[in-house]
Amino acid sequence: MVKLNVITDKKEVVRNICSSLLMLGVDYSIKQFSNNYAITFSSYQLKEKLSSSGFFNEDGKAALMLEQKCIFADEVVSVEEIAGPFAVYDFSLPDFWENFVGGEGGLILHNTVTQQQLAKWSDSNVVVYVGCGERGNEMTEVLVTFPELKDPKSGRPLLERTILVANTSNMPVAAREASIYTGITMAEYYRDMGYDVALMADSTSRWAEALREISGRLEEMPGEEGYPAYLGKRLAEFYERSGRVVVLSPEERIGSVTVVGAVSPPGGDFSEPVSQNTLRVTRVFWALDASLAGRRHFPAINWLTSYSLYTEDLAEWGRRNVANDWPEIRAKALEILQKESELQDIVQLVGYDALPETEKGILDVAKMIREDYLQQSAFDEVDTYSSIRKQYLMLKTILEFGSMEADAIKQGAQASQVSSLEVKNKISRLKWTPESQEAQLVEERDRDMKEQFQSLIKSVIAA
Amino acid sequence: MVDSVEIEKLYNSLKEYATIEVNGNEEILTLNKEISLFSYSLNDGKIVRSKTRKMYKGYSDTIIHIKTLSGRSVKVTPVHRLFVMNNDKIEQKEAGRIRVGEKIAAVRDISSQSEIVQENYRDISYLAKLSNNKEW
Repeated sequence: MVKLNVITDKKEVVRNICSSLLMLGVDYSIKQFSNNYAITFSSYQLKEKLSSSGFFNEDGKAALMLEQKCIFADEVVSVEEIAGPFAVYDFSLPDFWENFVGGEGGLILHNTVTQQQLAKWSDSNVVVYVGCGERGNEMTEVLVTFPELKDPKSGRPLLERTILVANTSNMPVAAREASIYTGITMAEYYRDMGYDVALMADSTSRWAEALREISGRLEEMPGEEGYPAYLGKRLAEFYERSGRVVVLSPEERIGSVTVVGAVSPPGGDFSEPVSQNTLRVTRVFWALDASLAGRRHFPAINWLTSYSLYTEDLAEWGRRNVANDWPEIRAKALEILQKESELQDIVQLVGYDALPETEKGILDVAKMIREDYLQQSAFDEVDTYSSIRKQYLMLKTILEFGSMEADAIKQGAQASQVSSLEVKNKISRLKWTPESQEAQLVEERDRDMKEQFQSLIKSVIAA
Repeated sequence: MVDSVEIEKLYNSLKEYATIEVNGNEEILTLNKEISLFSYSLNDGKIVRSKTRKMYKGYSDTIIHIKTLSGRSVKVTPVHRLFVMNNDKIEQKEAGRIRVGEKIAAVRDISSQSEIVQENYRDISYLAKLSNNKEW
């Protein structure tokens, strides 16, 4: 006999399923474990009861005449691709789960969350990828996979708006030096047409090595680590070509080039000349950390060594477009992560249990920031992209939890008691929540937090 | 009142009552007043009336024109997803990947707001359906 289990954490679903089974006369058992309920019943008995009650037709299909059908499966008889370009229109419904009825006669169309679509796919019109000194098989992989990726905006292969400049490691060094300039010149060509261009230079370390080799052959005086003395100047000249411009044209076109340069320092040593000279000119630095990747923390960007010098410039924008306290929230989160790094040294000496409760609380909040906020899955449909607004709501909730935890600890609660609160698990699931439901869910979490912390404090005081 | 209108005409007629955000060659309208339209709720499997203030205009190099056996048709971008109905489930599929012979979800009666029924519901799926039916 096949036993079926229905597991859910929703009491309403449990109630409805049980009442359905009861009315059908199917025997079932119900068990509760933590927040979930498991309802177990016999598949055979369910089928038998359903067929005797007329829910199934003779062929075993569900009898549909009991309910009035308002959607049905309509067979596709023709699919035609029409070449354009066309202007296209769409609605965005606030509820992620609602999909509007459209087309001639009425078909169900997927609801696109517009903001997500724009932010994810329209930031740049043209992508220039410079594979400088890369291995041949890596470039081949790009050439094979890119045509399969579809540009969500046009529906055409992504490769159609991507330029690949390939200079594999076996090609002449002079060509490697030129490849970076070729890439950025093409980027500027499209920028002058009024496009936003993203240029990826991977990697500038290989390019600098080519400079070193040529410089050596020209018998120039070597600088630090054998690189030419003008390395810093050449790097600056390259990065200075990025930016937003108003083109000298009758209609004042606006275009931009954003340069993302990858530096691969030997042995991960950031003190070497290419990294140092790059850091001198760029204002944003993402440090990829092998130890984070080893701990399966992705994206493996180290939050303490990475930085942005645009923070001050963007603070006012953040106040206007995200929330008034966005810069403070960001600073507070960074402060907690820095404090965690300091405490980790002590933990390695004396162990977590020997820490005072307040500091255990800080470690707990830092862990929430790392795991529930910074970690992101590129393979999850929802988690792959978060708007700044969603980021703000998530971070604010985590920090509020931290501040309530600090208050509870002051009043005598222990960090372990706070960690066992149900709302903590719920906060960890915020990142899987679609944008449209985020605000409502955050409100619920705030309410849950207040209730659960109040009841914890009451129980602590009573004890 | 149930009425149908071309989305392009609707967009152009509402443009003057909205704030327009331009991003490259795309436009997002935020309407001053909500408009009402029919939608299919995945949550409770019903045709419901939804309200929205957001409309979008963009460009696509190609579009896909799909016609069905019942005479329904739709023109969408190749990446816009439609709902394909298989034996026991509904799944979303990009229009560019839909082939002749597949079955897509269509609305039987636009003015109806009754429950949606999927074909070939069995066992758990059917029970789940029953459990969502408040009248049961």
